Amino acid sequence: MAADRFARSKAVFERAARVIPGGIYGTKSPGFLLPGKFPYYIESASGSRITDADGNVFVDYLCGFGSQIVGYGNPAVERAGSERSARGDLLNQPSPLMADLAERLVSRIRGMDWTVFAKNGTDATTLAVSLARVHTGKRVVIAAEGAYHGAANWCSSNLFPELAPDRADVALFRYNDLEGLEALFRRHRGNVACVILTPHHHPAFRPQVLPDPELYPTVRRLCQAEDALFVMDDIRDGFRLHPEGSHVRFGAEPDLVCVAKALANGWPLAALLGTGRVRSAADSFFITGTYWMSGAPMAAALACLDEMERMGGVGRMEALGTALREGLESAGREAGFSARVSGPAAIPYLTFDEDPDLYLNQRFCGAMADRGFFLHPHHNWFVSLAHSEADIAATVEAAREVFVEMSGER
Amino acid sequence: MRPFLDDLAPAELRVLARIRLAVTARLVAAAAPLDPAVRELSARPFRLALKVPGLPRALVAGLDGRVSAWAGGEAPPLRLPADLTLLFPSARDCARVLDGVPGRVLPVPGGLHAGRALRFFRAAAAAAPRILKSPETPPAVRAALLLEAAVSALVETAAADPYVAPKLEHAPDGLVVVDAGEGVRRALRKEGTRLRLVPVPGEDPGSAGAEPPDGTDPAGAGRPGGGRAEAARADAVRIDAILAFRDPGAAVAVLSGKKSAVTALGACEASIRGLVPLVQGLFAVLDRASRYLAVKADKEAGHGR
Repeated sequence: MAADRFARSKAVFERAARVIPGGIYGTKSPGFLLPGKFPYYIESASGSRITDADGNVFVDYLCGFGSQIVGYGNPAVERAGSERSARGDLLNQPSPLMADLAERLVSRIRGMDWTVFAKNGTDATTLAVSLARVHTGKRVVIAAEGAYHGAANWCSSNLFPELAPDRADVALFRYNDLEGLEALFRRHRGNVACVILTPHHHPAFRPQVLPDPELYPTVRRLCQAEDALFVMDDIRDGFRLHPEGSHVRFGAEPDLVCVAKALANGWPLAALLGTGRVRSAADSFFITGTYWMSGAPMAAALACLDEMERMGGVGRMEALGTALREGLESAGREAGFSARVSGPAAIPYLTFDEDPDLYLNQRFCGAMADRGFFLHPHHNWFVSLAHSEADIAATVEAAREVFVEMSGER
Repeated sequence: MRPFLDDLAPAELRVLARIRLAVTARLVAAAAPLDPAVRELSARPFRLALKVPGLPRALVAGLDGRVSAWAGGEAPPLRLPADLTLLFPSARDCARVLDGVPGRVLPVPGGLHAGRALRFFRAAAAAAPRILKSPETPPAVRAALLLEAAVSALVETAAADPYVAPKLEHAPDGLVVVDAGEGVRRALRKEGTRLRLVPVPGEDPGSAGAEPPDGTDPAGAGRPGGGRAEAARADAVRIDAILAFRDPGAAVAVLSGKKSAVTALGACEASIRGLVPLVQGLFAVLDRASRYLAVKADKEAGHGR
């Protein structure tokens, strides 16, 4: 019998399961991947590659769920963060870097006039919703079905009846269903605090969807008529679709923008940005968290913004992602599969037309993992500036083999 | 949920009673062929109903040497009166008696074979836990019985407990096959907030023996509307997700509550293929059902559970 290539991962997991609910919880749970095909624990990473607890190396297209944009262990980012850390990270007061980063973000993210910092995306989206409610004096939040805005009770999949009051004022519409959106505004007229959307729709377990050209104009019109705010949750897409914010790419005009993940290349940092219109609500709101103003992630973020530009920015990720998409779709077609890559080029996700239950997807991603490519079967992928043309070519070549193998099983 | 019967709200008591009715009916039917004495008692026809006022009754019927069960409002194929109805005056009595502690139960004769039905029930109800606990019982048999109990509890919990409705509503619809290994399989179809037992696509439920003339599922143990015709139709049915255990032992560990499903997945003792959120929706219901089944009838320890 062949040795188990994830023996250590499994051994650690068994220990963990005794003292940690689920062993590993949430989006990193083995059950969200394909147990036995993907590692549970990562030991180290560099550039576009991760090395798991058993020493298996993967070309990684999950990028720390999108947080890695200039590569794992990017020297400039790590140096900036570590140097700041050595002089003090979490202090009584923020470091002066906080003002530097705020100025940098406000000047970069189009239409925004101020920013506050936090740690996770959930912090930013939840703060945005709170500010929208305070600013408008209204309660109802409109969001898209299947959208992910974090792990807080108002938006998570913890659908326990005890938590229902937290979701009571959240109304959902089908993404791109403009009539449905209008109907929600009619139903909740006078009570809508905000609409919150991700720049493009990236539900788990389903193909991604780009916004209908009329979506954002409609959102803007309805929000203006209702005097509601529009919140752009740019946490997953941020810095991969447009250097000035993903809303610019799609012509949207948000009042509040949430960013995190790629902002500091994996150093823990989130930010909420807003227009002057919402400034007084932010001024009066008690915003804090023990770690929210720690300096090292802010230093890392400043370096990361520089590195993004130096390494080619959105244009390069777009080109790499396009090559990946075209290569995968072509390889699939050659083997007789209608494999489609959905979403923006830098945030791709492959599914098969004839496979609504994702069996083929799981087969494909499992076989790619066997060959050393980490392509999540149920969650969108990410291209980073650390991926090389050679990485993309090797991925497509491996995919070609897998498609042929799968074709033989038909 | 509180751990003792006396602490449950009236609505929770009714859910628990409904689960106990279904699980008991299906377990005694599934255990019937496994114990020689019970098998002997089920050789001749009988019809037994388990009833709590205001709740759908469960029915166990012996026909042509086979024992079948229906619960949760499933309609039996022949609407004949039961030979014997075991009437529990309240949900609390039902939950107590079917958990093996004293409570009120009234035997109401309704047909010629009331005595036979009662003898069968007493023997089968004693045999099922004995078979489950016996070290002699092969893992596949234990897994089959536990799976039968689990799917019954899932169906009834989904039908009766509003607590799980938001989770089920959130999960996609579809058909799930649970494969406990060594040919032990059951299928559930999830539609909205409801679950129902359906034939396993591609399997001929008649293969276990002769098919009764009324077209019911001869394999019994609660395959509503079964039969060869439906099995043939099921061949064309798409399976949306498969929860497969590595072997019956792994299935027993999860279905008996000794190991959580997520831990079993991580340990590669179970796998999910297909529509993962559909199975996750079932896990949420299974978790709730397990809490019901863990409710103790008496606060003082010592009734053997």
